[in-house]
Amino acid sequence: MLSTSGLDATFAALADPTRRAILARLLEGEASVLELAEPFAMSQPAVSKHLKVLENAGLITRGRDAQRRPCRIEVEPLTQVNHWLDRYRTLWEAKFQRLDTLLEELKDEEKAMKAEGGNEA
Amino acid sequence: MSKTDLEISLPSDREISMARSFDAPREMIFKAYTTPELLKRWLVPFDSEFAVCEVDLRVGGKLRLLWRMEGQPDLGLTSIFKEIVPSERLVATEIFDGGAESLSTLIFKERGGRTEMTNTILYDSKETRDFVLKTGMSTGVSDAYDKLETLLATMPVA
Repeated sequence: MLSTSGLDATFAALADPTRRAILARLLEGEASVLELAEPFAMSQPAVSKHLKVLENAGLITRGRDAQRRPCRIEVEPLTQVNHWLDRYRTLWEAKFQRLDTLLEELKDEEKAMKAEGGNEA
Repeated sequence: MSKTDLEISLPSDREISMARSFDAPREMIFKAYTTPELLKRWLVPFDSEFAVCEVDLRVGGKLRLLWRMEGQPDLGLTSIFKEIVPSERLVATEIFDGGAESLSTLIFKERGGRTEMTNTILYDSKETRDFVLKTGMSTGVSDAYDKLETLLATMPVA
């Protein structure tokens, strides 16, 4: 379980589209700074800055290999964020399923009214 | 609970957006969102009821809901309508009692008898938005990688 400040760091790190794209790339496997910089047309220092934010949020770890220091994605903080999204989704889905039921009832009522009107005519 | 197409996304630091489709014309759904008698039939959990449910559907008009659950403090929501396009669009400020004001934008689009609803809520700060996300109810835990993929898929890469 992450602390609230940990979650805030995760949300903040995820707020940036480049950092989300870096994470999406790392889902495919680990990569060096150089490999990450290439598709983003960014300088190595700029990518390193993003990696620092991701690392501080616990979203990635860096390997020990002094030359490459490959980046690896860490799933745990993202899983935690997704738990909140999932809970929120469930809360609303329960309401929307009651709305589905209501809409079916309203359609039935409308049909019944039309049928009644039809009989009278 | 069965899986449906309800999608939750975070378009910005201060927003939560929900998208879902319904098997009904949008006039009907708009009515379900704006008529007290109908709100009572879906926006209330089974173990609670509305102590107050009032809707004054006009620009500047107020919507007031007060949920009552046994053994729990009442939960109140006050909403002021800012923009009303019948069956299409409903923009309103929302304040849960004691909380910060947010802005809700509801959009209904009809396609072949089905209605696609999106509800985007803009909060006063990232902190409020995160708090709202964190106060959702608990569900089970499923496979972390699936969820990760879903999460990345639902977050727009601008």
